Amino acid sequence: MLLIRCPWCGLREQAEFSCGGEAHIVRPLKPDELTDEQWADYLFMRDNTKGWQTEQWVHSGGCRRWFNAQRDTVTYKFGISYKHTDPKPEDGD
Amino acid sequence: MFEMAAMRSPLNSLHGEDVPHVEFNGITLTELPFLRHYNVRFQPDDQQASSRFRQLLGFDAPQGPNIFVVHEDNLCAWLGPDEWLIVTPFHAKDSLDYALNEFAYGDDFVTRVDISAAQTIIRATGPKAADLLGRGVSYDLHPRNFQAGSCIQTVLARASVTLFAQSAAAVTIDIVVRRSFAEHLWNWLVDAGQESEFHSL
Ligand SMILES: [Zn+2]
Repeated sequence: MLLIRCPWCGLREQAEFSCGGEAHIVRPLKPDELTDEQWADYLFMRDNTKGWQTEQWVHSGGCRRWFNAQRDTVTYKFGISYKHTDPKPEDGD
Repeated sequence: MFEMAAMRSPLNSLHGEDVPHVEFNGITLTELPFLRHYNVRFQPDDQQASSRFRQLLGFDAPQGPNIFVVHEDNLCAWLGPDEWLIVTPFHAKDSLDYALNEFAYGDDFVTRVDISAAQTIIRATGPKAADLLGRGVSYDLHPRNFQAGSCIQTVLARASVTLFAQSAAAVTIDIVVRRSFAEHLWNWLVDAGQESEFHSL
């Protein structure tokens, strides 16, 4: 069973969570000044990292809070989970 | 106005007009209908709101995670860093209603929502109650891990539930479930309790 650590509730089964894609993508401050290419880049283009990446997760079957987590896209191993207000940590081990 | 006689619980339909109650293999299931449920939200680091809460309700909202407190008629459970569930008996609803209205009044960052009609509680009692629920919950419900005073929000038989460990000695676990899932969950619990391992009591 794959366990994911919610920063509030602790370790829980993966079935209680949903993934919201890559984390730390900043919404442009002035979207109306962007070119179509820049807007498309913000909306659609992702790093698609092989290895450790940081992702947004939501504890939908529990406290319903969003948080960020490190995950290795090759091994599915989870690293640190942290709140949005916490700084982005170094890549996992 | 509400009349008790006119009220129907989410599980009434299974048992005519009676409160659902079933016993099998040392496990008792019963509904705790017509309790009043309130969802309350405020920022725990908001000193004014916190002290107003204490003043009006007589206790502190638990800072969690995964715990609940009982103070007189009220049970208050941590649901998230800024969210709580308060459950109170029908007869105490007016005083709690008043306190929560006072608490939220004039504060844009405080909410209280009466969700009594949205959910109900199934109480599972008996030495094997934790084992029965364990058939559908991945969380470790053994009393050494899920001690009295703990509450968790999780998924039980694909239904979102909040579980309260009421008493370790008698193993009483209360299951808060949305009304539309109540009948499914009740039937699932009764069915799961027929498994052979529960017959040996
Ligand atoms: Zn959580």
